[in-house]
Amino acid sequence: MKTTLFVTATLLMAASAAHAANVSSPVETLIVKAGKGSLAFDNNFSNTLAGDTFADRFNFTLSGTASVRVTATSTAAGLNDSLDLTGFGIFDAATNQLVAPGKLSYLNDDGVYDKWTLSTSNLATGSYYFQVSGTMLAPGGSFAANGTINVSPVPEPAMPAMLLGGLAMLAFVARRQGK
Amino acid sequence: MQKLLQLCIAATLGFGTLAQAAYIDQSRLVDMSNTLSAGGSFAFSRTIDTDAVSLGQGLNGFSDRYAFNLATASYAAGLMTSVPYDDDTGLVITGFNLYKEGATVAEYAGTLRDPFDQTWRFKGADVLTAGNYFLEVSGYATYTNASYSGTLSVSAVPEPGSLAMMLGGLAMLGVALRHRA
Repeated sequence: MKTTLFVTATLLMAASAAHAANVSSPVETLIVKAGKGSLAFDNNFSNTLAGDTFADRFNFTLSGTASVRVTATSTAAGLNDSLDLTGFGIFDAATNQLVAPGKLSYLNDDGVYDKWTLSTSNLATGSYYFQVSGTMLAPGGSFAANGTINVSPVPEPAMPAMLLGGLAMLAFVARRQGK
Repeated sequence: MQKLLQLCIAATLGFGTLAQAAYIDQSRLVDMSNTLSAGGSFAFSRTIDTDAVSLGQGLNGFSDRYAFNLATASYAAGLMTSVPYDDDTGLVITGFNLYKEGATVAEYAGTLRDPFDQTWRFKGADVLTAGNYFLEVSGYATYTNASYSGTLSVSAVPEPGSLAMMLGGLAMLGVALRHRA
């Protein structure tokens, strides 16, 4: 009897350990234009098991220096619901280095929830990704994020050229009329 | 020249009419039933584009509804945020509530917890009976491109039936152990 119990327990433990899988979602790409823009992204997991982990990536490219403010959240109705957010940050797409870390701020006054805030003001031109990491607590967890990106426009060389061209034409017309 | 002037006047008048644009209702209804399982959760997010002439309270607004079904009695918790721009424009969230379909009074009413990123939160202590519900996010835009996002989590309440079953199982175990001893 005791042996059977022990074997069953071992089998159960082995089974749950084997199931602690990486359930990361395919990489998504966010569209970021020059100027003031807003973005939102989220994810619903299904058929996951408690203990499964994920590191979801959301790619974006900056055409100029940018300031970014983003908040990522998850919430749970009970202690063992949804998921735990364990990390949030902006990574350089070329080097995979963390360039702007998020900050975990609990407002844990009435239960369980995770909120990560990220604020950076001088992210250089280039390709990056947001990475949201976490651990599943239930079969169907979810997280959501939204924020603002303000990309300083880089003046295109064509624009001053166009302006000069226009001025030259104006001068030409004025000269002709004067004559 | 006179023609040009007339054109100018016409254009200005036209712009005047645009500036007094009628209220723009941005509300939408989303069915979340496919993504919510018992004891599970769903995420929702939206980016709202508004005409520059319709910004501000009274000129635009939304009451977005995210509908879902509870198969069994449950508890629910919800959290949402809407990050503003540096100049504090973006979305102004005015309400975050959970309603039972057909009801006019919210089951759970959200409250503003953090004005920095407009964190709204509710976590109900009362059990929600099985049925159709919707989560409502209300507000208006003060910038042409702004977004919000959040999650709702549902925790199943153990049914009396399953509790009785568990007690029954324990009793049987007790009897078996006693019998062996």
